[in-house]
Amino acid sequence: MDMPQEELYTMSHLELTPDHLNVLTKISEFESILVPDLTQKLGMDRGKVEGCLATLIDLELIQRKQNSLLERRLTKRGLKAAKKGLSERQILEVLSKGPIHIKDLGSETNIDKTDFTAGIGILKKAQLIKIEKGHVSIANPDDAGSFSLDIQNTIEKIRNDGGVQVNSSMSNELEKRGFIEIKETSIYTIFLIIDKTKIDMIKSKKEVTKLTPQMLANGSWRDVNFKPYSLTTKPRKIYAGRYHPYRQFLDHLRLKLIGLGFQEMKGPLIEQEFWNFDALFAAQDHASREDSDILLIKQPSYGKLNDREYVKNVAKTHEDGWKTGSKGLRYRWDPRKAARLLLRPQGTSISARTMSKINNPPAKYFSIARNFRPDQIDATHDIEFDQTEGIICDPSITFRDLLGMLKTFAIEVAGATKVRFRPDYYPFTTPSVELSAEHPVLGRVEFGGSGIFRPEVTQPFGIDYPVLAYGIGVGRLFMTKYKITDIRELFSQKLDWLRDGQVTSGIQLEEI
Amino acid sequence: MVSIEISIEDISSLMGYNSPLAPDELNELLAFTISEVDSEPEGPDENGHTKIAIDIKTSNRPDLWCAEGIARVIRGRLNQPGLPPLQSEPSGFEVNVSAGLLNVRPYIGAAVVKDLTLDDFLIKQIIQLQEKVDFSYGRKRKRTSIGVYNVDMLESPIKYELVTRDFKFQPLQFDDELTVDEIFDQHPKGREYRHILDSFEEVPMLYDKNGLVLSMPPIINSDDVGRVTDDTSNVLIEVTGLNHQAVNVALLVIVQALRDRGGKVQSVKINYPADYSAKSEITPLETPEEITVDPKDINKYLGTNFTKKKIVDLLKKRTLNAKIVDKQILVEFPPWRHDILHWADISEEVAISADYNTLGPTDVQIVTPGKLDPSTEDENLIREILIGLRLVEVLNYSLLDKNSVTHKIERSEDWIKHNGIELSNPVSKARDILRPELLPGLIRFASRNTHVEYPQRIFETGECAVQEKNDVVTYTMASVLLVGAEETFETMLGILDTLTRLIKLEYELNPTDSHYYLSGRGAHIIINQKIVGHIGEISPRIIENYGIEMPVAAMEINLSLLPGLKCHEMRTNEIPSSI
Repeated sequence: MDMPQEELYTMSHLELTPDHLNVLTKISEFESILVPDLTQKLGMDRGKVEGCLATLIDLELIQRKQNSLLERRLTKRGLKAAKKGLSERQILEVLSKGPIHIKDLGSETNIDKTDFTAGIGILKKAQLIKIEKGHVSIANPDDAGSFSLDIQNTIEKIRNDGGVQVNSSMSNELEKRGFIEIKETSIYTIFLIIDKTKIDMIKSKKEVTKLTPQMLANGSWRDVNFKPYSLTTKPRKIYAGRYHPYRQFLDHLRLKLIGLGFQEMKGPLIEQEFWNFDALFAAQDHASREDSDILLIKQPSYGKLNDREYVKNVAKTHEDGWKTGSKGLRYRWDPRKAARLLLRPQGTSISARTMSKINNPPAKYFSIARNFRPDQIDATHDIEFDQTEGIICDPSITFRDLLGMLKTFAIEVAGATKVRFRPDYYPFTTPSVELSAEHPVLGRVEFGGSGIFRPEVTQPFGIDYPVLAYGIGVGRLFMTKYKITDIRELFSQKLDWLRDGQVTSGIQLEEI
Repeated sequence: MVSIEISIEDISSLMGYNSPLAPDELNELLAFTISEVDSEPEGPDENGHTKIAIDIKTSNRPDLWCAEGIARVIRGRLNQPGLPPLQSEPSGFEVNVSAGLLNVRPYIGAAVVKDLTLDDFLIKQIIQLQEKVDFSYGRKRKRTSIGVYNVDMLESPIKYELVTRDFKFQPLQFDDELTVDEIFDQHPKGREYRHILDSFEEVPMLYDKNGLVLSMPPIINSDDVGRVTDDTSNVLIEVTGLNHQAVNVALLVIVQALRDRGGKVQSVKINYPADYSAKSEITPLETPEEITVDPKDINKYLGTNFTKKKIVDLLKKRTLNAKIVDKQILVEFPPWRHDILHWADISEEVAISADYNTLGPTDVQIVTPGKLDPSTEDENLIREILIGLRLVEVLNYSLLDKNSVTHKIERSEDWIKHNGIELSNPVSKARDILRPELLPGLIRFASRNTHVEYPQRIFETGECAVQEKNDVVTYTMASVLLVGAEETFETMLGILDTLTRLIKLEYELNPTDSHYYLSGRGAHIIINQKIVGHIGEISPRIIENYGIEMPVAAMEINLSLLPGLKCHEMRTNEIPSSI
């Protein structure tokens, strides 16, 4: 077949990707070929082959022809017949040995009741058997040997090759007797519609995976095909740089407290007993000051008290109340004991340090401090924990303001809806109050404690007006928010969790 | 905080209720005694007692550490205002104290309580109160300790004297007489409390006119008079101790509880020798004490507007007596209320009596600017940059094991001795030193995540501390750890370079032979001629010590030393500067 000049020109300008060319070449090896066969021979993905075929058809290089095909498939019944033989042939087999009572015939043939009844019916209709007083015998021995043999053979043939060439009357018979199902399916054959020799003229087109700066610079992106991305492949996991969830929670808490007008204060990890106990009016023989209740250090074990007036004021307040209006604790105050160093057991020591610095009220402060206390370490106790502490100083402040401040904390900071107050006890405050908050999701949450610093605490620092003090157990709030049951998980050693653990903003206690 | 177990039926009846309170109702009332229910009720048992645990939060109100004391306050609130009954007739008993006790255990108080009806439950309640007072208020029996005896076996005078350590008597729960030394060695209570007396050659002993031993305070009672059973109806109670006032408070607490149970309290005369630190007296000392308060102070303190009469009424509902004298209020309180030191304490009584939830909150009207401490701001700046460099933030404990900051990182123990903050009474060896730097914690973190995908790029910022002469300095560090096949000095240097560039600092590197790093691959980081940190490839010896099996590059910078940042150091002895 000669091609017109024009067509040759077109062919030589045609560019196909290696995959397309590969498919086209394979098709050219056959007169025509079924798509499944082609796919198998190419060893390519079926979807990819279909894609190539669609392009090649569009380019009028190949054609596709649809043929319908009758597919005959053996039913369960057909399969049984293929395996054990037709029921009428089984009956004849038994009868060939001589007449037999119909009951015995049934048990002898060992076929189920429906098939047996059907078999007897067929044989009777063909007048091959006769039944007299319950006894069955062959009526026509000449025809009996080959009866239904053609059916039997066809069934076996269908089992073997799918029965492509079964004639339609036989096919109908088999379908009627329920041996086969007939299904009409479409199959496609593919064949070349250009001269086989012209394929060599087609250029192979490049397929690339990546657009490069060079392609953009020299314009070669125009001459390439970009390999399409699979949209179902998962990308490589990226680990984000991220904050530790608990530290982030503390950052958010700081924001909340700043929003409420509090200024942050800090203090050293190692504290003098003076700031932690004496300044807070805890007697030097107070139970909380026993070695078993605090963590002490080897070196240096004692610090140095400073020479400020307030140290003397604190001493006198302990001994006889000084001029605070208190009876005092009535013992001999020991400066050496006050100079002893310990790991800070409560952030209140930072509040004490701050009180020594305050000149002009009003002042509102907070700290988020790491504290240390000896304890049996388990899921709910740790020797290290964080506490939020703070103070409000102003001559106008009252106990009812303290209740107001706690209510604000519970509602603004933790998202509580209702609050209850209860008398509490701290050695350095009077009155002292505990707040429990009703939370819409979490129920009753113990939020923290607070009180007004005793005059014995404030007056040695020259503060002759009330100072409200509060404390919030922040670790517990975090655990409540993220449903963490082991306190040690605050300092999680699991990198997986730090990389992938989900967090929400804010410190509101909400369901996540 | 003190925890006790009580019976709901018992305390309800002590409060004056005809039927037992529900746990919730009980809890509501307990607010007025600064306590709360701390367990689910259990029972009732065969004697009709439903047990429930109660936490009492005050550490200076031993009178509340029993059902009787709690019920007394509630009765005051419901229908018995004013002071509780406080009088006793003389019992005729005397205690003679010998002069030697002055330096050992100087004070004693005693009382006789008659006509008690004791049963098993009540005896257990008395023992519970005795134990709680001995433990908390009595500082594990050192400051005070209580003894209870069958007074019908005793004859006055009781002698409180010193005996030598070969003195013998039969201690509680033992079948034979033991010497003092044998009790110290063999009796469980002897072993537990001997440290209180161990430094004395002669120890305190109580015996009666006929030499019948009551006890060796504060260690153990004798097995006969010192054993109280449900047949006992008349008891002698004594308290010995180091503090005169505390001895009397402990005695009053237990005596008053028995008085509330229907016991008839009788006094005992204590005869101290001449030239002693106390004068002879009749105990218990039951005279109420007084304090005068200005109602204006109270109203201003609480933010209330109560009339004088209202304040008087509120105080009377707190087992206190109160009356208006001139424009002031004179408050009488029971002699066990040694927690009342200041008119502010009376304000608290008024507030509790009025009920905090009835007083109600008011809005704080003060306006102040909120702000972060500058050191937090600058620490956050560094954290933000490191997060931007795709590092994951880690949070480690501040307390580490000593091994992690010495042997495991190839550092000498000597360094720690002179610089480290070692705990002298650690709870566990795993947490016995305060971290001087963050790197050991990060390396340990990496060793616990060897099963997790590499590369691992982590950092931490936080406070650390070391010794400084006779002071301790707390400062803020930042440390980065890169773990993975491709991590090197160079990849780490890239992070340092970016970090310093973004905070406008110039750095130089000087070689270091630090124990942390591979020789030739570690450097000091120098900024403004000052060493501020170090950087390098971690020595394979350390990597092996931790079983990490991956190259590790590290860096640690003391943010408190960086010029321009405000992560200031804090010295423990430093005078807080005014603000």
